[in-house]
Amino acid sequence: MKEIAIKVDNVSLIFSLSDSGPKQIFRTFFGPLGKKIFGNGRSFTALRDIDFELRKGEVLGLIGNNGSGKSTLLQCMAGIYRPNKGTVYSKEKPFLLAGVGMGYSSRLTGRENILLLGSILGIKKKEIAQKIPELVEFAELEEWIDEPLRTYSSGMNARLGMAGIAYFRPDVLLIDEVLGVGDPTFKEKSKEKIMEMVEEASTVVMASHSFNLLIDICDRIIFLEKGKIKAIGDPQDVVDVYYGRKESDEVAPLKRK
Amino acid sequence: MEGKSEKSYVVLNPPVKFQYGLIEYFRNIMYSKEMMMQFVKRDFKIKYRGSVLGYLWSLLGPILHCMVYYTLIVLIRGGGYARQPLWLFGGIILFQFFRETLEGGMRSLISNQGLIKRIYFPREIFATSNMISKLIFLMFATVPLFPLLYYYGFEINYNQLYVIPAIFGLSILALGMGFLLSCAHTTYADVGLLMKYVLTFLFFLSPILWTLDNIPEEWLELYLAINPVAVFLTMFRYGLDGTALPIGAVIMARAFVTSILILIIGISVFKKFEGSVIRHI
Repeated sequence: MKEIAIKVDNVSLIFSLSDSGPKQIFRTFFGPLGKKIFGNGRSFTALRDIDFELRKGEVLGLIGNNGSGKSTLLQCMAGIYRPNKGTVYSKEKPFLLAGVGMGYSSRLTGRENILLLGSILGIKKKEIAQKIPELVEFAELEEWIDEPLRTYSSGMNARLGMAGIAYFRPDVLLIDEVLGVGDPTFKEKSKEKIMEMVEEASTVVMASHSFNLLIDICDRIIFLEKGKIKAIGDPQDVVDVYYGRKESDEVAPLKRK
Repeated sequence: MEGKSEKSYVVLNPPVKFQYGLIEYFRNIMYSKEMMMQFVKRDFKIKYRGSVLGYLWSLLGPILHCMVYYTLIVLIRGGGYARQPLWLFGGIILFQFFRETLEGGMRSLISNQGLIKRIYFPREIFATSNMISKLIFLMFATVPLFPLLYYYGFEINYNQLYVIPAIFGLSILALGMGFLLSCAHTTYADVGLLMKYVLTFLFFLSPILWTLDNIPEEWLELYLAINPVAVFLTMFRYGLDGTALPIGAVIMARAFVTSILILIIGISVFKKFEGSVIRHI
């Protein structure tokens, strides 16, 4: 058994919907008393008792309909959201690649954004400088790297983001639906890059709607429904559960060879 | 395991108890010095990008700002206090520093949401690096003071030493206020909207367009007790040209204690609520 990279321990996350009303102020300041008087307010449970372990080098897929909590779970695992209940334990520093590109600062140039990203990931300056030419070539952005990010098209932005993680190699990579962007050739290239990372035993969690890709590369898949784990285990089995071809208790816990 | 000690599990973004906030803050800041420098650099690169005059604006801005108020004073009062342009300029750049540090700290979670929503690292870095870059901009802005000092004449004496603690105290106060308000502002935009007017009010209520001589003697002590900004402004302005200070050590000490308390409370509140407040962005 390989060691555990991330342990998601019984995590629940609740978003409060009635944010800015005056009642909310009382709830904040008077704690339990405020809640007694004004009620709990409208809220939305995005994640409900999520509990699983991610082993080092494992590739985990996340599937589920829109709004089922895939992105929120990834954000919890990255430490961005603090769960209302439960804890996420982690050995490494996960990095989340979500939405279009990096987009840290649209007024900084591509190069400056990469420098910033590298320093946040704790990579030394020299190392970053060494990697930049390769990275730029991979992203096919030679002419654009010194232009501000606001001038980039969304595809270029996505390529830069993908190139950033491909070359900086965060310990744990959380990918949220980004393989769908870019033109077909680049899509192929980034898939290759991710496969390469998978082979080099990076830990990857990937939320996507492209089931075929997930079945290909994942060791396990989690099927989320309304913030709860409906099924976890062998990729093919879980996708079958998603389509209603199988019951969730028929899923094999690990990938069938 | 071959020699390498095994990494232990950590909780990313762990809940912080109110009483541990301060320790946690200093530990995180010490640990992320490199990253902070990157953020300071970013502030510099962005600030005047897209302008023709570039960094010249950090001199030009305060000068123009000062001219607006100088005109106002001449129009309304037909003249002003002694050494006016010098003290007016000193007051304006220092208050501008206070305002920008406070507002930058207060908005730090919202204006950096692009980064905050992608990777976890201690979020107090934003407000702190903001303060550092504003300090550097303050240094730029002091350049036009030298011709003014030359023109009005100055004495070199130990009064000049007051300039340093004045800036230091004001930084502490602004950072503390920024931390204190940032979680509230992230949840309720009202805080930011209100602060805009509060700060404008504070600008006119602080000795910038006027001096402490304008305040009746019997109110002076009370006024300085409730407005530490006025204390630091006075220290800075009198210190510039070495004029003897009209305020005593007790008043200065009180302003410092107030600022440090606000910083401690601000950091503790920030560390306590920062984790849950991110869900509102």
